[in-house]
Amino acid sequence: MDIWNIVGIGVAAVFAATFGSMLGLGGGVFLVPLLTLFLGVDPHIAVGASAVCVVTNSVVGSTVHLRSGFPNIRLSMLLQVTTAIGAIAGALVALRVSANAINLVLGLVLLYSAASMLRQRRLEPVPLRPDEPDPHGLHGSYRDPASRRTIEYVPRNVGVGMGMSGGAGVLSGMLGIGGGAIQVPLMNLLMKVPVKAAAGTSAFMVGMTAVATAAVFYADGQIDPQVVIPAMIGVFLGSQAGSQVTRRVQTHRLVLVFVIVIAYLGISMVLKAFGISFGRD
Amino acid sequence: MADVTPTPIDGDTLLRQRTVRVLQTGFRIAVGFLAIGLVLSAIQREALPHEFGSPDEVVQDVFDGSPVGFLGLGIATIILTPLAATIAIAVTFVQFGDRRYALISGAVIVVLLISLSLSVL
Repeated sequence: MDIWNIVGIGVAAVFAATFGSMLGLGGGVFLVPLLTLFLGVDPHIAVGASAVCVVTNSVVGSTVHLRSGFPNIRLSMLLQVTTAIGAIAGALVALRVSANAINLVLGLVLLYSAASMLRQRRLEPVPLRPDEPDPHGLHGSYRDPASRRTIEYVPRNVGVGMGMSGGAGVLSGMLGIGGGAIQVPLMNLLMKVPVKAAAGTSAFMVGMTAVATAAVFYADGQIDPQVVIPAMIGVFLGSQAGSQVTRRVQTHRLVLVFVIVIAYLGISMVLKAFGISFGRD
Repeated sequence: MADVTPTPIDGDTLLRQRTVRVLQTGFRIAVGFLAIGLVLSAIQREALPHEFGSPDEVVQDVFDGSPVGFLGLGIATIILTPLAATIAIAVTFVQFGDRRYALISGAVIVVLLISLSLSVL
């Protein structure tokens, strides 16, 4: 592998981690196509490197997000129970279900989420009533540097959110994705968690979800040091940048970027269901 | 004389601080192993390999002073860091007497360990 390939991998990882960390995704959805399409990396090696990078991105990005107070740790633990169980179930049944059907369902879910988030992107966070019930002890608050306000919220529809998070976990397990593209709209639209808190919480969760995937590739010898080392250096730089951007950018702009990304993913999934691929596989 | 009594930290802030500390420590240890591996690789003029050995081989490579052992250990450390953070969160909830979230965090740890064993076996 020549020096330009190594630099290219690092630059691709900076890009993937910046957007991933900013939006509460792992970044693998950007990294795998960049590595395979533009840098000629074998798809299996690219997915292995991506899994390690998702964990790294989560570790580095969460450190910055946690200092900003965005992630809701209790909420992440609550949703992670069903997400992780769903991911195991998804991985176990993956071989019994048609991949095209999964891609079509996920694609439509992502497109619906994109449309809903676009429609609601300028809505203010749901104001907290003084007598707002908080039966699950999930109250969260953070200082938003962009609007210079302290945002307080209590996640709603927690039971339904946990159930749907389990469903997101099933899809994660089946498709080998971190699940951030599903978790952020779920928390924001259904549970009324402000988008920065949803992105911060999701960024923390995707690391936990990706641990098992990364371990599989590690144990299977599919982690290539020549690819993963420059990618990790890129992730370190990009993840810090993305988390800082989240602090400063106006929420409606963050939502707009998120909508563009998940709409792209949704369209890719639907096309893939009909056998049209951008070359990821 | 100025009052030097520290401002009391609320539970959530402490929880966040501890989680940050574990994530940072895990990351720094991983970077340390990776740096040692890269330096050894440069000193020994050995090109980076295309794959790591099994976990047993990685440990043996570390004792042999081989770069690939340290690189493998660095990657393994970063992979296990989110699990360590979850354990720290569970311990903090236990210390606070928050039984509900201590149990929930414990359940997350159990499920993560199950998924790790299923995936590695």
